[in-house]
Amino acid sequence: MSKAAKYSTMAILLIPIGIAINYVGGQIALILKLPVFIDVIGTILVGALAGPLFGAITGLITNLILGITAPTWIPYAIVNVAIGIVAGLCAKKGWFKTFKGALITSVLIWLITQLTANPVTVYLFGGVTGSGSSFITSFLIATGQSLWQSVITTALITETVDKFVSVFIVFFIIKAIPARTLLKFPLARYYLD
Amino acid sequence: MDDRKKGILSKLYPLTKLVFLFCAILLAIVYDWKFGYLIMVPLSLFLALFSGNFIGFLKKFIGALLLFVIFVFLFKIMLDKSDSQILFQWQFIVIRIQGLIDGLNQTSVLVVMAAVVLLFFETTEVEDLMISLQQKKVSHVVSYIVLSTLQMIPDMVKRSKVIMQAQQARGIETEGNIFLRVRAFFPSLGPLIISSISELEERAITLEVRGFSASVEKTFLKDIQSRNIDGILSLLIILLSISLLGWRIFLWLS
Amino acid sequence: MAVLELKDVTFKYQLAKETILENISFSIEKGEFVALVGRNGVGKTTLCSIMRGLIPTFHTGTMSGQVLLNGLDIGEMSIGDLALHIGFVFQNPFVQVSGVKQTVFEEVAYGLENLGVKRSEIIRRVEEMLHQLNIEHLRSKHPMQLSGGQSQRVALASVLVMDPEILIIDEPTSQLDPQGTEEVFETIRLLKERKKTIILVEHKVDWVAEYADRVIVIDDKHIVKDASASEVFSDPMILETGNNLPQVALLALRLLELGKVDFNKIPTTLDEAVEQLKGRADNGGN
Repeated sequence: MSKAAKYSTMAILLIPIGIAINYVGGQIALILKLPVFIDVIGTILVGALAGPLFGAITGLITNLILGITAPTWIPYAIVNVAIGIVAGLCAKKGWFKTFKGALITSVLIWLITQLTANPVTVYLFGGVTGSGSSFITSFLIATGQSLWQSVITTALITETVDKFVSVFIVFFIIKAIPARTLLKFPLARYYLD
Repeated sequence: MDDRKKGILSKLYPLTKLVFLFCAILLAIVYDWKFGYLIMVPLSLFLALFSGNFIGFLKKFIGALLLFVIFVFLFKIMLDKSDSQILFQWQFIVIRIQGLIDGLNQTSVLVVMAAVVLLFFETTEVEDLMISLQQKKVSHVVSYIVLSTLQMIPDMVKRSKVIMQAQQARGIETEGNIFLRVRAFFPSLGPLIISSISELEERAITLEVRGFSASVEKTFLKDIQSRNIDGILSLLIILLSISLLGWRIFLWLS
Repeated sequence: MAVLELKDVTFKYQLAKETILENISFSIEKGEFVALVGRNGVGKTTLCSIMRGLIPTFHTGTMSGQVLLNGLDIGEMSIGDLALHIGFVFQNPFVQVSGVKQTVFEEVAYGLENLGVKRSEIIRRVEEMLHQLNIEHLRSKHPMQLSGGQSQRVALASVLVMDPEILIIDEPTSQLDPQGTEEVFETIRLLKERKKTIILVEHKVDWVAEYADRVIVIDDKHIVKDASASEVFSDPMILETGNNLPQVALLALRLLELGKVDFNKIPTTLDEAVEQLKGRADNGGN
């Protein structure tokens, strides 16, 4: 009982931090005019430290809260939830501990993003993502490609580097967290010897 | 305490407005563009006007959707291969009526969603929503996460600005070519994340000391109550939605 | 019966090489005001965490021995439910905020909401607490935009308002000026009158000598002295444990050393010194 309480309070408190990191990471990328979004680092981090459930909650609430002012974020909650789950599952395989593991995690997170985001973009948004990448999509449509082809190509161009960078940022952050703090998270045993 | 949000709709119980929100989105999904564009959008604008939140609502509504709607119509018009009536033609640009209808149908659900969500938060304090959810047995943990996030985000934005200014002062380039900017990203975000995580332990203790996980039923300093009008309105909205849904199903079957 | 009792407690933090505390035993009676003193890093804060039940579950490590709250093993109780019995105010005041409230008034009320106290009762108790700690003027301020001294008092108020039977307070005056320090000690005196049990970590020994019933001195992992405040602070040995003595006691020791004045007991408070010296001054003419 008391052990469970300890873990959950730390993990619960991690969620708002994860959501804020998602937001601030995206903002800093915007300020620095980087060609990537970097808006799911927090979700990946929470998944990696506290497991798939907490990662999923972080993803869900991130998009719901951003939806308060930008409702077009809300349907994409499914993508952020899926990323949190995958990050949590990969962490439980111990993959955030090694470079190779982080590489596999990047591929899986990239894959789940493609699988979940593109259907939302096509079916719900008619191919529009609401970001600058819509210009790429419209260019591709203008050249005579179908909507699906255009959306997938756009996503490949914009998402691939983004997800690899995001996973590796989390990989390095976890390495920088002091061991005594790491101890307090549910998945600590996958990082400490 | 005092109401930070003003207006008549702000006085309604949050869950009454939440019922309206869900029903509107559900109906927008089953009906075509006419429900969204001819009923829900005018209704939302009317409600915002009625409640005295018109300007704020309109700004956010247009801000959230304008670019998005323009692109959808652009795509639909480009993808339109029908031979429906031509509305506009100039050189190689052809706009047909089918493209416009496709665009209206494609955007209808999202326009309704944006309208009701923005109206909801324009007239509802998030804290009040959370209290009303807790009164309906939603865990206080959910409430904590949401309210804490709303304080955490501006706090972190502020701290990230301080860190970035410090980085610039120490000669780390935040402008210039892409490699310099990528290199600036890590020292900007890294310390912020590590310091937030290091504080977590003491914040967890603070919460425990304040009885966060004490196994008793929580009470609220803020007095949020459902009134008779809320019950009646919720019931009316639900009944109306069920009839509209039934009518839609009847149309599908016949 | 003792309210709180430690039986032969030894603790080592996980990942640490050495134990931090060894064979700690003492018992505290209801209504007692006990001060913990010792040099920085000696384990006073660790001891507070042990008494609050945060060790060994929240801060992990190996612990032996027992902590009893009203005769019951604290290890059997949940960290959450202990909030009903033990209040804990720790050092860094800036992180002792709920993070979900917009005003000091709401912040102080947060603990009572969590304990399920009735709304009217919450308002009454918060008002009373703001008045008592002299922070009524902060009521509408944002709890994260306060000065060090202000947050320290708000943190204290937020815990005191919950009215637990035992209060563990770890350096509550580090950010306060003498005026603020006096207010905090006066508040503690009021709590004592209401039969609350108080455990305080505090470096300001003049205040401790004035207010505390009993002082426990920790040095090199062990309790080296556990006696009444007046006994502990009249013992020059305390200086060797990295602690200070009250100014009055230091002056008395100095006078004794110079052979100017003789004391039948080293005074530890101003009143005591005045009492002892009064007679001498009268005889000064002889």
